[in-house]
Amino acid sequence: MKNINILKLASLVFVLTVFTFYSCNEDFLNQANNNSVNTDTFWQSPNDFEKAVNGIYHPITNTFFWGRIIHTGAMLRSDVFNVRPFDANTALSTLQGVPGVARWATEVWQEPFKCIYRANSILENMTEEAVPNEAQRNGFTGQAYFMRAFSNWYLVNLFQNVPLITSTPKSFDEYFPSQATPEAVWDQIIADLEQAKNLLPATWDGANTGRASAGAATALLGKSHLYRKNWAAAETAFNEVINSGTYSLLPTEQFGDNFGFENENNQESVFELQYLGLETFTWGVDVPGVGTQGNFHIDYSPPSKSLDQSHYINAWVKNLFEANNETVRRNATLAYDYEGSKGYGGTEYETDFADDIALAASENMQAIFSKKYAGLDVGVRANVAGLGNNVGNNWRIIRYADVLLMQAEALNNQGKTDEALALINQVRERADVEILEGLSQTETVKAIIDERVLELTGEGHRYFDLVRWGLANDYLGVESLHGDHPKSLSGGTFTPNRDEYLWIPVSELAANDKLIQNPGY
Amino acid sequence: MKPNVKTYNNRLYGWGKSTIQRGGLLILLIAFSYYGMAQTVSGTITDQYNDTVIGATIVVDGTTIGTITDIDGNFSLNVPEGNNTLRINYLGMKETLVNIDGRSVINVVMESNSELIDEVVVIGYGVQKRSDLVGSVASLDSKDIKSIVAGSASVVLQGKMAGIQIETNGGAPGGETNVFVRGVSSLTNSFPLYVIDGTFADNMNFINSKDIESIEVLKDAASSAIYGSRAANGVVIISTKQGNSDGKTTVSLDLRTGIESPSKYLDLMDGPEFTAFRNQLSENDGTGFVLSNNFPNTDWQDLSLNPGAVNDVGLSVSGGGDQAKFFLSGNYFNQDGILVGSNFNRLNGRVNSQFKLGRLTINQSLSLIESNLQDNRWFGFDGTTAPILAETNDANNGGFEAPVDTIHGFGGSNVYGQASLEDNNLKSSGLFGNINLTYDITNDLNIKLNFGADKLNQYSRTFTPTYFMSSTDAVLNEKLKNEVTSVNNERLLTLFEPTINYATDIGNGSNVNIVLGYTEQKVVTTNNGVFARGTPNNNIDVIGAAPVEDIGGLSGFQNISGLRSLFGRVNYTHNNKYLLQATMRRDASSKFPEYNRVGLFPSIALGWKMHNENFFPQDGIISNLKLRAGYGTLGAQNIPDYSYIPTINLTSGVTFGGTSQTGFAQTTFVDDSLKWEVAQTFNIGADFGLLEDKILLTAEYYIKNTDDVLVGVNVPSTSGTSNPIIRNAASIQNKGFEFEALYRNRTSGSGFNWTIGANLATFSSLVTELPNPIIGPSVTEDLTRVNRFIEGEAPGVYWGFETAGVYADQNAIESDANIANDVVRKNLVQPGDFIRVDQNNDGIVNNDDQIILGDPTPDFTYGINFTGSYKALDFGLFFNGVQGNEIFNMSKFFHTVWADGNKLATMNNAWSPSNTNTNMPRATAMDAGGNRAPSDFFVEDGSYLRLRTLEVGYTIGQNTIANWLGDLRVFVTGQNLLTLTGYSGYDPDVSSTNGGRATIDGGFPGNRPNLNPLLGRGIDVRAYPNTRTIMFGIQAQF
Repeated sequence: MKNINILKLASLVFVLTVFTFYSCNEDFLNQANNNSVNTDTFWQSPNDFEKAVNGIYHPITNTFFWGRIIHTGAMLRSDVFNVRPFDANTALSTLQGVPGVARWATEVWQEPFKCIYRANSILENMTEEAVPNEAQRNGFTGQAYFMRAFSNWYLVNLFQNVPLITSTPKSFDEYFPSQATPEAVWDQIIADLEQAKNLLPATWDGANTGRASAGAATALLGKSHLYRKNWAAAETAFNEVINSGTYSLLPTEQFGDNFGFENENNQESVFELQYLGLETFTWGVDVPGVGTQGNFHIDYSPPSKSLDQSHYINAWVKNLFEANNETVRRNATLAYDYEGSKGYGGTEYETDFADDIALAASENMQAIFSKKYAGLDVGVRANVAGLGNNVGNNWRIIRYADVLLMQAEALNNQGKTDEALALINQVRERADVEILEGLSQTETVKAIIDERVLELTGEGHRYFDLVRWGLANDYLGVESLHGDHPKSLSGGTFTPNRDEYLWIPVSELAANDKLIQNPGY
Repeated sequence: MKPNVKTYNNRLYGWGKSTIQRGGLLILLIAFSYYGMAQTVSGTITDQYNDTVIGATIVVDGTTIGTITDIDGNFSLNVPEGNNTLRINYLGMKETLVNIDGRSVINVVMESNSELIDEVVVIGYGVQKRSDLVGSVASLDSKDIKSIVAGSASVVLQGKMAGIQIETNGGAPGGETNVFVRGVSSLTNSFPLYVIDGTFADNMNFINSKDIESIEVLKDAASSAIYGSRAANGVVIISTKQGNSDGKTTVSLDLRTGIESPSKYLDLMDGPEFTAFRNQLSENDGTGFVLSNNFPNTDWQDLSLNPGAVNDVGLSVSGGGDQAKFFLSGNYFNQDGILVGSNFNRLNGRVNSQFKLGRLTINQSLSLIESNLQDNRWFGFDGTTAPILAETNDANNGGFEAPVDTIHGFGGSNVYGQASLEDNNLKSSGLFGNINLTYDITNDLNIKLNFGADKLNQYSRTFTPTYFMSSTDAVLNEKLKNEVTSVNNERLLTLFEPTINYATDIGNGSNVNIVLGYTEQKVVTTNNGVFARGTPNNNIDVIGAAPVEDIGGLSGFQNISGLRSLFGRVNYTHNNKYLLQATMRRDASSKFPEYNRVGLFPSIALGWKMHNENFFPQDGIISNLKLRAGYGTLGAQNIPDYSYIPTINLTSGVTFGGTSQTGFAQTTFVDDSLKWEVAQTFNIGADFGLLEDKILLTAEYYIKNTDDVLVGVNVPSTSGTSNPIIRNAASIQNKGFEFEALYRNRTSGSGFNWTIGANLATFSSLVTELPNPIIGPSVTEDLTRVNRFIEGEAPGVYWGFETAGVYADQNAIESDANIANDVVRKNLVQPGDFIRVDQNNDGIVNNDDQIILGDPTPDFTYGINFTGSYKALDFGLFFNGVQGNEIFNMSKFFHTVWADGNKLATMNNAWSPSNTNTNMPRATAMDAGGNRAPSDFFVEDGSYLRLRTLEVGYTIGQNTIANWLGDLRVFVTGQNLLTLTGYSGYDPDVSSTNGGRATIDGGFPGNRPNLNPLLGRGIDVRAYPNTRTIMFGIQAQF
């Protein structure tokens, strides 16, 4: 019996000890995460919203979207670039992509959806209490609407059949959306841009340069109507941009400033993604403490200098410039052996491009190379590192000359050919080439197609243009109207009803069985 | 001091002895010889088989006078007058009392103890006789592990116990190992819980294997239930050595030195072969680029892999008396590594002591560790460097060259150069220890307080000097500014654990043993890291010298988790026939939301010692038979801290107005209703002793269902993140049979004794529930993912296309029924591309035609252990084998179809227009045909049988050389001398993707994160060759 009493006593001591510890450490099991901000305590102040709005832009500017990947794949697909095949990197740009092989279609899918999620969370959490100042509040929500539309715009034009996400997922089931019709996505883009253009200011102050403005929203709205062939609506939107007085073409001698490091965010720039140089470049996304992602130039730089294989420009582009007696835009767009041609840092083309010229000869290609966004203005070739401090070049997503040409297209399609020609001539006069007169509506269609090549080559519009005009197969198909095959180095050709859009990434199909692969893949 | 070890007692795994029993048996026998009225008695002790018994203790009854038998079983003793009885003891033998009766020569035959298998094993919060176990517990003692020399002590478990699977990372110094108990049942962390002297640890990498007295592995729920959470993957209990209370101080020295060399080289192309291959590639791709023939011919593999030295020096001092005893040890281990740029060294120290103050016993254990790992992170990175590069290039900063695309063609880097230039160092300092106070309130009742701490500081520093190798692919091949990454990580675990233990005889032949306890455990992890560029000089490799404006990254966090538990266990035995064990544990973890915080984990197990029943034939073949069965549930919470709390994180900056600005976003989603992962295990087994226990057999079957498996699930990135979300997402079932057998052969009078033991475990693993498939990590720059987790299949199966050779010519493409309706693919594939099998016969090969290509889980694993002795000579052979698993050979992938780098010599037979009768794909950099998509071409059988250890030793008995010298044993050990396998890569012992390409883009610059090795299991991404090691050693006692 004595044993039992002692057992009781010991148990008591034990239990007391335990409870002593319990009571001393009430928070022991309620550990808070002090490494990040709890979502419950965020969204309280203008400062929170400003940081969150900054977070919207990052998926778009980073290396895995506009910083690089979209160029390497989707932009270099066009008939302008005869891409030197290199591995999966060029699977898209050589029209040889097969689902599951390359990352290049995967990341351009992921990043816009991140942007959309972040925009949605701002729209859902915005309150008057958190941001009492109405103008400031409108600036935040306006940017959220704009960036959501911007992301959807690229998704629908790259992939066509995408889920339409307008709210943050509230339950696990909502992580698995079905695809929406392209029309529904377009409608949402237009609705968002209508919101954005009313909420956003016409301009931002210097410290906020680069944020989306009302003009940017209106221009993208016009562009969206144009892509949907709603000519009148497009005209209205473009008119607003043109009549705003905010934008004008740079002088002729400054045409090259539209693509360089100098004179960024100038009067011609309607929307421009902001980049800083390599000093802060690091692979990976959403890595705190690692500043802005840099903007790659390697996919546009000359083949012998590129980290990858780069490309040649197809001869038809050069021929078009020469047929048009162009020098101003040609000199800013192409490097080849014309009079006064320059290479890196203003050195003579013939010497600076000697390796590239030899390489072209060995591959039976004409030696014609990109200049826009190619990094030639950074300095002499030897000083330009593969990823040197020269990757801070802002991308001009929408510039005023493009707005004028898009408006010309909207007008011409409504039979207002003379008004259209006037706008085309505005662009041509700046380029110091002779103006067009007396063209028929049909001739003007062709004139616009050519003018967009002359003005915008290398800026990422051509492939989308070909697809929306229904001309992709004509120029990139087995029987190219260019005569020479624009992808002769890879042998890839455009397959109608397939290559208009990219494949839905295989990893996404695997993760969500509601998604259906695009036709042809 | 330890007696000579009689080799037939050199028991196989699973039957080892524990500290406690040995401590009791090695009782202090020192001959206090004195002259006078005494007689000298000598003789020989033998056993019933007429073998000499070495190390038996002979004590003059009623005195402290005694001795032990030498290697021939002989003893000699001065017996004072008036004493007439000798008391003779030896482990496993019945105590024998002998009357001297005036004789001066006394030969004694000892009888074996019928309760031979009644050794004591360490279980959670207590010890138990093996014969009373009702759960599944495997054990090893120090002798079973003495011959293994390795960077990580966990290697000692390989093949030694049924159901314990060890996967190593080839011969990487200080390499990480996967340890699985009864298969992979969890997906976030499937590794067992380690309990070292009562304190919890995540692994046993930092323990000095020579300090280990015993290892017990608790395999089933009934055994490990008392550990509750964290124990769902099994528990490895490690007890370290204690001093003896015989009043004598013993010094043991263990010196080993040896050479390790690569066990295999791959047959790669030489320079001219590679040149021809690349020219064929240019021709195939139509690039017109031609390599000349006068390139260097460098064998990078040979340069990278070289024999290295291994040194292992240990010293221990132990001793003590009745009131206090101690064990001190120090050990230094150094491994040069067979790979250029790799090295590992480790310094261990240990202080264990015990003090008795009346009813109070204080046990203390403290270990200190300091290790340095220099890791080559580049070997095998995207394959091997092209052989046409020169070994050095003095014209380049740094002295190496990489491919220049206008000279060598496109392609990769110089991974030998990268590894040579990069200084990548992980320094770990750890302190691990505990103090426990035990107070015996009565003989039956004690109360114990355990305070434990595990502190590990890891400092990793990577320095890459400026260099120039090539302007092509300058991301890899050019460093304009040097780079330094410095990361400090500190982890502190503290444990407070009071327990009460009550054991008593309650009459009627019944015994009861009750344990009640409480645990409070806190883990604090603190991290700080800086990445910066551009110290002013390559000789300055510290972060402080980098300019502030060149700081390219900062990391830092502090994570805290708490676990609070109550537990109790009752063991009941009746008439030494019927056994019952019931356990209950209640865990509360800070890792779950408040309403899901508590988990209750009960278990029950029953045993029946049939041989103690009256009806059991006493003289039959079966001398011992116990049946046992158990069922229990266990929880797991192996997820990062705060996984249920949604947070807004810093993103990379964005630029406005020309300056970088901070961004915030929710970058990872959470499931805020996370709960315990729960494993239910049913275990049934039988233990047999045959022929008076000369043969011991154990057979078990288990079935383990794990529900609410916690795992990071990839959700569609349409949700707004590409990071996985941790959820209770799956159910997994594991089941299998386990067998262990031991046979001891003793032939009368021959002096030759041997023991053979074998174990075998079968595995069957199945994902029983998984609403959304999980895809493994990416293993190439193209984001190639191989592993999949699919409902109804084994976990982590490889997924891809079945191939049927390559297209011989265009005609073969045109006439291929697999792509009869596939215009697109017909245009893409060319002769020399893989023929993919159309699984659904629709004439189109698309993603619907992908199938399961293999399974990383073996069908069974086995081990065979043979030990023997002939007089002073002892020898041991240990084989382990793995059967029926497949390996996805990424090394073959990179060396066959990857655009960059060297290729296997088998690719000399690659398809070309003039070599169409082949199965090897064409050379191409373009891969429009998708030859690089995962396919059965890269999947191989991973079965192997390995002679893991061969050891021969010779013992020179005490006093033979000098009277101050105790036992002296010299030995030679070979490890990995022979591997029988059909696997074509470096080594079939493959852990996972961790460390390969998969990790390069992740995490903090210069500090690659550890990936979850469970999701990419069986992928040979960057495995090293294993090492073949020959060691010479001396073990001596003073």
